[in-house]
Amino acid sequence: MHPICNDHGSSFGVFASAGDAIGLRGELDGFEHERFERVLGRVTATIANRDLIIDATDLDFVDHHALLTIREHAHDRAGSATILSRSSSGLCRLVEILDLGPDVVVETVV
Amino acid sequence: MRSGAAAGHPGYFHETAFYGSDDEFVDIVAPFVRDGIAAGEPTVVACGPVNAGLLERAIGRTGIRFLPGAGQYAQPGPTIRSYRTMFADFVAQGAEQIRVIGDVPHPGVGVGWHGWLRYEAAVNEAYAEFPIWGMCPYDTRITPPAVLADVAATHPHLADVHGGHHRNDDHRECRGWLATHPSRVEPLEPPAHPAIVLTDPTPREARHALTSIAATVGLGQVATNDLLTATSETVTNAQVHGRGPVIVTAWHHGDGVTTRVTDTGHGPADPLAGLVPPDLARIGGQGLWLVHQLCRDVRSSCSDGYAIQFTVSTSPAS
Repeated sequence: MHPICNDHGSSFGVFASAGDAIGLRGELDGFEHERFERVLGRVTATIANRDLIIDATDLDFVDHHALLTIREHAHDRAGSATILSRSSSGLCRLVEILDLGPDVVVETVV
Repeated sequence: MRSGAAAGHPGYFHETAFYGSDDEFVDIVAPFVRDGIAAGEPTVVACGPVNAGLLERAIGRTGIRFLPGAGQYAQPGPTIRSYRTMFADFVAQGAEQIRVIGDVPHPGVGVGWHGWLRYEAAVNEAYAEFPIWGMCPYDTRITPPAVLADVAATHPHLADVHGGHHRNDDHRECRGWLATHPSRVEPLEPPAHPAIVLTDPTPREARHALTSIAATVGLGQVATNDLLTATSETVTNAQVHGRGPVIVTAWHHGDGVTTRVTDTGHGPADPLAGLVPPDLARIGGQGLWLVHQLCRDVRSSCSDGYAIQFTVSTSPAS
């Protein structure tokens, strides 16, 4: 695991995951919204692929702010975002309620 | 082309009807359903067992999509979302009008009115993009007078027992009317034995405190996720848009956890916030929509500051 961004005092971390995937860990809520937006912008600028893969299997909490931010970044690249998540995370449910598909898709990782 | 009284009407034709006997119910509803079937329009009946039985005896089941009323009207937020999904499917299949009869819950059938009052107001916007003719019949034998007055204020159209359909002169512009409605400033009852009281927590601190209560009650993973999401969204709203101090109180009862978040601000300017689908094109404003989708008995009050309260139990709200 090679951290590519991990601000001090932040409740979340971003790291390079397998392939071009962007790894997330910790907790992402509205208080971290601006910082997450900034960090995600820096990270996605280094990725050539139009579609984003977000590895959220180490993410303990995410709210709607972060999900909309991910969708915005995918949209800006004219692509989509696939979020890899543990089945227990409830992410599928949030994406469905917020009607984020097909721009944002959740794939469950066992 | 739309048939019947809603012909030529753009969007949602939201109508109520007041009946005082089983015969009057059938006199109002049976022609509405029969004409919808004859016109080839998707026709949905989401009534309680008594009214569904009356209708079935009068005109049968052919051509009608029956939905169990208690299931369809379990909680206002999920009801709006499930109807919108169903309407979108019908329109995608080419429907030019969809007829719906629904028994909206109220205190006369043992259900609190706070949320359903807002539902009746919100659907004027929440269903506006669909060619719906929706009829909400209310039984005057059991519906409290104050509820009947609210029903009259929230429905632009009124059907009578003689087959007439009229513009309802008692209808009000719902946002302004609801903003000054007595229920908006009705204080919430104090919790008997709160398990936690937090002053000015961050969303993260509130989530961590609620996690331990969820474990105490034995909430499953799905319900715990719902509780943490709703708590986080409401605390974030209070901290960002409200005025301090922000107080989070939570207590457990049976198989559920109730959380209340208060601040000394005025609360959302929009009394329909959380029930009208948010504009997903912009960041923010989605939190209350999630709370209404994930929780039961979502209540709010603008009395002496703003309070929002919600319950999560072992069986999810949607």
